[in-house]
Amino acid sequence: MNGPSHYNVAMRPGNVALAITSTLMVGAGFGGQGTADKETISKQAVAILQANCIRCHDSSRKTAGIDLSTRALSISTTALNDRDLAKSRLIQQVASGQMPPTGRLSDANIDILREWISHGASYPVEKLIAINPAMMPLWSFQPVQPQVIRQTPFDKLARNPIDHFVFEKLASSGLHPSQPADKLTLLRRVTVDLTGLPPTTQEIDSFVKDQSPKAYEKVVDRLLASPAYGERWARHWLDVVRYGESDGYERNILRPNAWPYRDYVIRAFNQDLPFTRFITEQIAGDTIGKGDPNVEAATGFLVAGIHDTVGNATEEGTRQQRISDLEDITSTTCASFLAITVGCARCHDHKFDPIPQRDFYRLASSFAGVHFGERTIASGDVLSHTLFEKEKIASQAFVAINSLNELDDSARHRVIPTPAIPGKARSAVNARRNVDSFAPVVARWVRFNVLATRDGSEPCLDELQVYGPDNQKDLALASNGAVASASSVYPGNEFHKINHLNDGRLGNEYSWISQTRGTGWAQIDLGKTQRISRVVWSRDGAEIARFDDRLPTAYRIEVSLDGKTWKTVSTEAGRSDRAGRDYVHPDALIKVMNLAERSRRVALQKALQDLTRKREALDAFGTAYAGQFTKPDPTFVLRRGDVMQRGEEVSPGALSQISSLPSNLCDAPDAPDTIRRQALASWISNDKNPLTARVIVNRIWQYHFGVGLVGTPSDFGRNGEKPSHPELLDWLANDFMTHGWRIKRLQKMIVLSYTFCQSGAADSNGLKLDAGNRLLWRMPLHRMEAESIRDAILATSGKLDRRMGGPGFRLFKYSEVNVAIYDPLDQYGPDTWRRSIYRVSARSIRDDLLENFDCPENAQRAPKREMTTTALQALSLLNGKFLVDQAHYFANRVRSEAGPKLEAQTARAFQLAFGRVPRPAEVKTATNVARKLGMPSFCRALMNANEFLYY
Amino acid sequence: MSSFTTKPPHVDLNPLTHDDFLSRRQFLSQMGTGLGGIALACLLAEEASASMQSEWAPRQLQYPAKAKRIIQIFCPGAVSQLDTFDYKPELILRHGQAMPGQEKLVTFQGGNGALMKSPWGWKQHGQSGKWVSDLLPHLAGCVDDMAFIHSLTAKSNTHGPAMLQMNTGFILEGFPSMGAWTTYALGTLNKDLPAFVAIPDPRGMPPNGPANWSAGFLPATFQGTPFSNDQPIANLKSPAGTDSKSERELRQYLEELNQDHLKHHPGQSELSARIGAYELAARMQLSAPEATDLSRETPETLKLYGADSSDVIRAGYAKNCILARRLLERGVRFVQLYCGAHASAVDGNLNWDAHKTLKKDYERHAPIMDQPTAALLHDLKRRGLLEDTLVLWTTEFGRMPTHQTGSEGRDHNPMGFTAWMAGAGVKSGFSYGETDEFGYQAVKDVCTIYDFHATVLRLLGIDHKKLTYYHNGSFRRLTDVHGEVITPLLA
Repeated sequence: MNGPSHYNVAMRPGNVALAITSTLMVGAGFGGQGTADKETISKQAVAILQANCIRCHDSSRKTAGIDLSTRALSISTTALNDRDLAKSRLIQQVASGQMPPTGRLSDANIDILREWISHGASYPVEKLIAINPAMMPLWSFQPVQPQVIRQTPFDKLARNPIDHFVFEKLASSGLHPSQPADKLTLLRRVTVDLTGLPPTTQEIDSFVKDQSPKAYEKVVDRLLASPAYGERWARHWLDVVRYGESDGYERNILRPNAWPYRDYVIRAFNQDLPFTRFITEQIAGDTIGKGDPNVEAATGFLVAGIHDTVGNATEEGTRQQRISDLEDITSTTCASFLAITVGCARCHDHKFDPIPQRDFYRLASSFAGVHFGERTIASGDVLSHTLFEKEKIASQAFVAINSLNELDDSARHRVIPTPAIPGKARSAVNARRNVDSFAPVVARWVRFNVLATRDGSEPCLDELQVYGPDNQKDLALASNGAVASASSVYPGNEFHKINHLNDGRLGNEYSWISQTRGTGWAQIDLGKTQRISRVVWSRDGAEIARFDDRLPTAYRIEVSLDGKTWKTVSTEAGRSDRAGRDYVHPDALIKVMNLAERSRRVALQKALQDLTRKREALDAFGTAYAGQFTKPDPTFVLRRGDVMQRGEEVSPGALSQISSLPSNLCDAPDAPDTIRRQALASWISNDKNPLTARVIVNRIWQYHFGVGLVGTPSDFGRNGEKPSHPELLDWLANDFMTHGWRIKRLQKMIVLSYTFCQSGAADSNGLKLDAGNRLLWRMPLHRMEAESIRDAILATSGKLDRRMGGPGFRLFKYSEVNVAIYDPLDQYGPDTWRRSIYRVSARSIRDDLLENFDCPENAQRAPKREMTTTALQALSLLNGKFLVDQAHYFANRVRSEAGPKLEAQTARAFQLAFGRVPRPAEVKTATNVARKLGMPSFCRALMNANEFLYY
Repeated sequence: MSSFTTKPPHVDLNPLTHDDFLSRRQFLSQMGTGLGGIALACLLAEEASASMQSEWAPRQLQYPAKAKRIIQIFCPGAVSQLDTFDYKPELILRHGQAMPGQEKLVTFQGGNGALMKSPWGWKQHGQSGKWVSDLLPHLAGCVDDMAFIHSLTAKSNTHGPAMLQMNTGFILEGFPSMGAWTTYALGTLNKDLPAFVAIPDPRGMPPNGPANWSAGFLPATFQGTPFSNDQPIANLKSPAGTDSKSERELRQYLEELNQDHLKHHPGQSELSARIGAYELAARMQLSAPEATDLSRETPETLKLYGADSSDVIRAGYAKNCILARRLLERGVRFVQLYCGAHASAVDGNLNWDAHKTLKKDYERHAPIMDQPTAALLHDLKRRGLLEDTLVLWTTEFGRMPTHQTGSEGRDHNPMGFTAWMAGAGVKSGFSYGETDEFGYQAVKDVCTIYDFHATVLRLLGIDHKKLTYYHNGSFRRLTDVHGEVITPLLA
């Protein structure tokens, strides 16, 4: 054959595919008419065979005995009839539509084949071979193309280049843009869109009054600068990266310090971090921001997914867990930044996209040093400061909880009067707090010797406190120089340690357990001789105590001056034998308290709560669930994805089929973890990467318009959609990169565009041609997302707590008994009135309201939310405790802001809920309803209305 | 209609993955709201609603449907096949001897001791002569209605992932459960109850919690709704201090507001769909309490199930069984019924995970399950429901024929375990597949959970390869890329 040289290159599938596909495109352009020369026709015809036939009819498969790979073979296997080519089976089968089985070829293509045959059916290639269709070039792997802005009939309306691209498509489809939206609609749209909250009545007033041409732009600038902006847009990103705050699976333990990552993302959006920096910090923040907790927290990205913490004794099970973790990290990174689905290549080459199996393992190798877990994210200085602060808080909390226990103790004695049994005058031992007083004695050592426990199991003590006659400070505290020791300690448990005996922390998590059943001793060396007269001891003295097993019932408290000779100062003698059964519910305790005691109790609880909040904030400041990093294990390609079938060892690499960038990240298979991740981050954030800018620009677009330019935002592969506006996508991507990868700039351009500012009015032409509004001839209403609904309810009732950051609030009660147990709340107190992004998003326990409104459960990535309409949504908004409470507060607010007149109240309610005053026709009905059903029910109706839920 | 543009694209390169059988549902779910949304919100009164435009009507199923509805009984913690339905005389004979190769065997919690026979005796039952252990006297009486699979294998030996696999086909969280797939494919049979209901055990939630009845990436419409006798559906009761008349007036006013709003926003069908959702909610408020009201049941029925037991857990599970039957009768498509709860501080305390004290644990759990489950089968049969109801009895994996080192319990074993089916389209008095002489490893007609799922879908009339949904780059299936229908099981 004497075809052009580029057809004669070695028969590597990739090359053939490239050459032939481009020919095919040219062919389609010709429309199959006889203008083309013989050679071109041959190329086109062979390209058609390549694309449609050769997969089954190549030399190796020869389906039905037919082999089309060369002219000679086509003849010998009877596909071509060399005596009368026009009567060849090939053309008969194709023309009748019997072949290919995927559907009849287009008439144009059939004409090309006819013409090719009439010219002698020559092959311009040596031999056609079956190409893996997945390896054909993919649009999204091609470089971002520069774009020209062209004129359109609607250019007078255009406000920026976005409009030109949108108008161009409208014009070519016989559509036209809609009228501009009215001011109120526009303000509500842009405010919910950028901040997730509805505009306040003041914001509405000032915008409506502002007649300057820059009025809208001023609003946009204000919204982009508002801290609420980051809270809204961080939520989108957290969906994309499957951020959750518990491990998932059977144990599903909470991750109490996962939130620094959530705060990091909010900050990143509010500070408009360049997107490339955002990428790098999330993948390698521990390296590029070492010691700075604000940057180190970013690697929470890597480990925000599910992780099975149930240990497994088998090798296969352990390997399986590890590869699941690595797949989660790798797939999430690739899906989030590159919109490719590499997980599909874990067991075999990707079926649809140019991603060989090896690529998956090379990518996974970049994360081979990453493990799920928490780590210290602050530098030494920061840490020692927080340590100091934490100690201070701990000692304050110890004092507060001791006082609380003392208060409750005295109340309990009133509820359960000490029995009048002779010799049993003392109260029974209990888990929470026991006092043994004795005549003052001088001692250096104090020993608590357990002789029996309530259930015969190994005894447990969470604290041994020792006081002198002045009763001022706990002399046993380690921070006062005392040292604890014990007969033995329960082995292999992280909670139960000897130094917990005098650490000033109460509760099971800070306790000691002996190793011997029923017995054991714990002792305190006070450091110097002291006058002592009282020992206070407990098994679980936490504010919310949960454990009363292992409780000592027979014991001896002994003291010593020399550590050798001991003197008993107190025993259980005289205690009632109702050991552990003297639990009294706090409500009953409060009942017997006097006014002063009650208010003191409230104050102590409040103080404890504040201290806990402070401590949690500090805890997570030092350490965060942001991953642990080790020397990477070697990575092997796994045959069929089977962990027990290791193949070739690979070094870190990126996608091999992206030709604009080298895919080799580190040459050495033993490259350090930090280098691997940094190398991958720079590969992703390189300007030459064809995917990264397109992908983020498309995500941002989707969250403004409901659908992305590519409708599958985490899949730019062949299973995903093709872009609706490819030129616009590339123009935006280029513009984004040229201007420093700044998201706020991009968004400002989007929301200032005419396209965004259009009305949502229906138009019969538009509905006929494009009911789904894919070409954006209007801006229809959108239902608020779950979190925005909840936040809007709180904003409207006036109860929204705008405190930002820190540990989240829980919509569940939590306990751990080997596995985590979550019980949904039935009461929603003020600590749950913060924005929904601060909700602790534990997996698998979900809130009715949020869940029903399509809030994802974060086990898998959710690049796009469903928008369903269901009866359960109606039930949770009509009858759910949260909304009923808030409707009540809303009613109170309306009454206090509008005064006693019912008309004024209903008008105010309309204003707060819908951003407008009622129309004259609405006033009467509204007032009647409010009068008849009461203001709270009226307010509940407004919060259920479509006008409230849509924007 | 260019709403189709948001539909998952047709893939030219692999026609098998595209599934136009379900394009209607895909269309509806992608539309999300609008007529589609509300149709999915289980508003369809009949399977093929005449009110739907013909182009949205469901296509023919690939096979004639044998089962119209499913009840799946799930026993979390991994029920031992060796103490229930998988009779191994060799295990009894060689009790106390080493299992060949056992010295090298490491299972979930570590090492294993000698072979351990079941603490219970075995007898043959029914016309089929099926061997059942004395642990389950009532279920033993039902063997002639059951089709056993003794050769199931699981992908994971850990409860969480393995339960997910049994319920969703995947060992990871976040995938749709069998019930979600079923309702996604077939819609609902009723107009005022959810199509997919999960009934947790009286002792608490199962391991993984709601992930077991998740809709995964399918629209939230298809998620299982947790149901119990105490609280049929969350938020069903009107707020305190309101009455049905005032609530009716409130809804009336809300509808006026919404109709008025709709007038100002024509061409947005989801707004009217939401109005319909409130009507449906009102109907649910009326019908769900009726469904859970067991006071209409005869004393004979209550006694049959053991709902009169003084043991609250036994009575609780019995009531759940009756509730399940009532829901099936009222057109709930898929019921998941749990017998056993999450792990506790002590293995095997709240579920079937008997690592240490098999005898003691199962003497507690078996009587809870035995009588009510047998009664449920019996009751379904006498009411004619078993004709088109498929009953599944499942657990996540099996247990070892050996005892665990230093204990009198059995460790996890995903290599071979038992499940059974009964009812619509399934052979009765039939056993399929075998484990080896000790009951350790499936050796004959080995089945995967994918096969099990493929068979269930087949009984519903669905080709498991054609039931797909696009998500994150793949057309996902309940059976992933695996699964063969176990045809010998089909009647």
